[in-house]
Amino acid sequence: MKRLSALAFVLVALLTAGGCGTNDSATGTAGHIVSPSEPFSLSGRIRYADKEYGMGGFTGSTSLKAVRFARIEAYSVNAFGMEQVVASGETGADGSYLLAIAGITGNLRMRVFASTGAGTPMTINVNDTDGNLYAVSSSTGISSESVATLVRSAGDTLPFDFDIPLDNGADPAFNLLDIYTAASEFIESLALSKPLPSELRIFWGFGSAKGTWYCSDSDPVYCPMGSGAYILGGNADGSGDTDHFDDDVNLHEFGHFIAKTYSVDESPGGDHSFTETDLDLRMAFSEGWGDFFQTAVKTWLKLNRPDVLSISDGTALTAYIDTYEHLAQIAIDIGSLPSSAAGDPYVYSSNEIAVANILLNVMNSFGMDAIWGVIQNYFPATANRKNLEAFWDGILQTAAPDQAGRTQLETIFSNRRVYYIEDSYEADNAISTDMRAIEFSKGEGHYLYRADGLADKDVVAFTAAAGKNYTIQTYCLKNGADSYLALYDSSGTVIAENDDDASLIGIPSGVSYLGCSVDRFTAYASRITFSPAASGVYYAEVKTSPAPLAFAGRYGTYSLRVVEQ
Amino acid sequence: MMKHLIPTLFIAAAFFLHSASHANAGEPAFKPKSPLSLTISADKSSYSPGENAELAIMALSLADSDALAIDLELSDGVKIVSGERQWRGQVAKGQFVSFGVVVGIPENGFARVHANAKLTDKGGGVFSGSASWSTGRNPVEKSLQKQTPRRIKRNGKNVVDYQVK
Repeated sequence: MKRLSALAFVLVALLTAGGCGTNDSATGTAGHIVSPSEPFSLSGRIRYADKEYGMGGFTGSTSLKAVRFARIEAYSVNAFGMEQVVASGETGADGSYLLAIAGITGNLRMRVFASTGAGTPMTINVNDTDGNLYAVSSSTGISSESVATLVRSAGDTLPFDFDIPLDNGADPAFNLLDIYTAASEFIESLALSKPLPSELRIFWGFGSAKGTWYCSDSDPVYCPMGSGAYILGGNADGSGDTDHFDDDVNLHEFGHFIAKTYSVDESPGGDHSFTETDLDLRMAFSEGWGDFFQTAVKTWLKLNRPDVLSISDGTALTAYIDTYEHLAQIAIDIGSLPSSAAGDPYVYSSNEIAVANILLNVMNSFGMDAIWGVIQNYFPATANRKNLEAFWDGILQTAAPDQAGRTQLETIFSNRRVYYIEDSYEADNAISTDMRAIEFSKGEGHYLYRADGLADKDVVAFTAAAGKNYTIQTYCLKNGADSYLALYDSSGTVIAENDDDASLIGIPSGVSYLGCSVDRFTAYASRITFSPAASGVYYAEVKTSPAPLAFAGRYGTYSLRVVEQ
Repeated sequence: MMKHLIPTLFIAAAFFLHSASHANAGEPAFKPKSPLSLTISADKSSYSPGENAELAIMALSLADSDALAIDLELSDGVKIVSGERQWRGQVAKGQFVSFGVVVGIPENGFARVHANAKLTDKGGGVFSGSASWSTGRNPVEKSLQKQTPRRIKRNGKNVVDYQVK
């Protein structure tokens, strides 16, 4: 096939000038049917306008990027405005295409759909809020007369590029198409237990203050079009909190899609923000996975398809940036958090950025395959709740690290104040005559965790005098702890038990209680007050509640104190 | 001047009820939201040219920060009669920061005040929030030219086709 490179300049000049033979009206007078041309090929490249972003928001720089793997068609428009599709296909990885056309009558145009074809791991369709697929048609065409002039022999190739500008109403749909396509390419690079679903639908429009979310199922309020990613933020005029160029937000949503597809995601849903340190552990993991996932995709793209990335030079691949109009409303580098400095909010298994940072560091040390093994294989198999605790159990089982590896994992988790290690008071799992005595009024920090995998118990002894009052309590519950307290006499008989300290219910969040800020987990502390009838040694035992709440964990950290009044 | 609002900065010590994150049955997981929210409220719903509007700017932070900055942008002709155009300071998690300004409505009757707030938290996160208030009709505002797409069908699917201009 001979490419008429010399003619390309002529044609481009014609298209640019909008001159003779380049638009519909130039195809002839109404009723005049132009004779079909010789068979020829149409070749070119289709690009869309993308916005660059960095830690401050959009930088103001735009670039043209390939519309990759998108369905396309060439069509002719006759003098009456009637369309006829003369060829169809899809673009390649660089946005290029080649279509064989038997001949045309009328004016030839190109159309590209916000829909991927066979070149991608799965079909991505970007629709409006009514479910209509977005498409863009070229502004100009080639008249059949021009084709007849340019095609001198059957099989000649005509060049035809077209770019979608930023102000085109459907341009953002092609950024969404590219981002979700890139994410599917990343997932395809992993060892998948089953093929990707055949389709992922994106619904993009304006007008929801809730912004962006993923639906795994139908819901009349939030998911009226069924499963898919809903990108609905911003005002009707396109101002406000739109997300169609916020790649990190969209990759985060793809992470939810993948978790729902290949794993088990137990997040109850709802609102959340990065600085909350007392999220439901299931939600913290689900959202932390999404926050991490977008860094994993960008890291992979940097190695494999750097042209797809939209971040400015110097912006970390590990950043999460969400814009509001042209400024960043959220900008954080998940890979560069301070080392648990005072006031650092990105700590505990109940904080999504802490979870994301842990996953990121596990990926850096053990590889993405290790993480994917837990997500894809361990989570669906375990009966435990799907949170950071389950991830810890899973990585120990699936990656089977040696002692050095385990220590490395412990360090990664501990850096975010997540302690899946035995505390310094072990072994204190059962009452014994040589039990360590706790010092009155002095708080002790404990971890509800045993390295052998069994349920931990923390037992302390104290000597009580008949007639005096004593208070034994757990407090400062973190990392999803839900304690259960039992008091034993010297013979090992239970004399009092408490699951939740009812006196703590109703204290507003943020108030300081025993040195800790009151939060979701505070009210699940335990407390026993007693006045012994006989002086002697008593034992306080703390373990995880036998009826832990769904948002809490099996492990966790807490403080214990015994106060003599 | 400020009959209804405290004229200078105050920091409300009220702690927030724990409602930042919540899950309602059937709600999907929304994208992460900024822990910084901002509102502007006015003492009246409409104003005449030459009148003064008393505005209260309130920010709620769900993050601790040593560096919260709030700045006001005023549309052409709007003057600050009293109060400050910016606020800088510390904020604790769950704390409200509020300050008031009085602005004069210009002769064309249109006034817009846009507030931008930005903070850096102690973990290195940078968050922002914004809010706008306006009164009157913007004399220079252009209505957006939105292209009405063509509707076609392909393979039984409805398509909205936007032509490149």
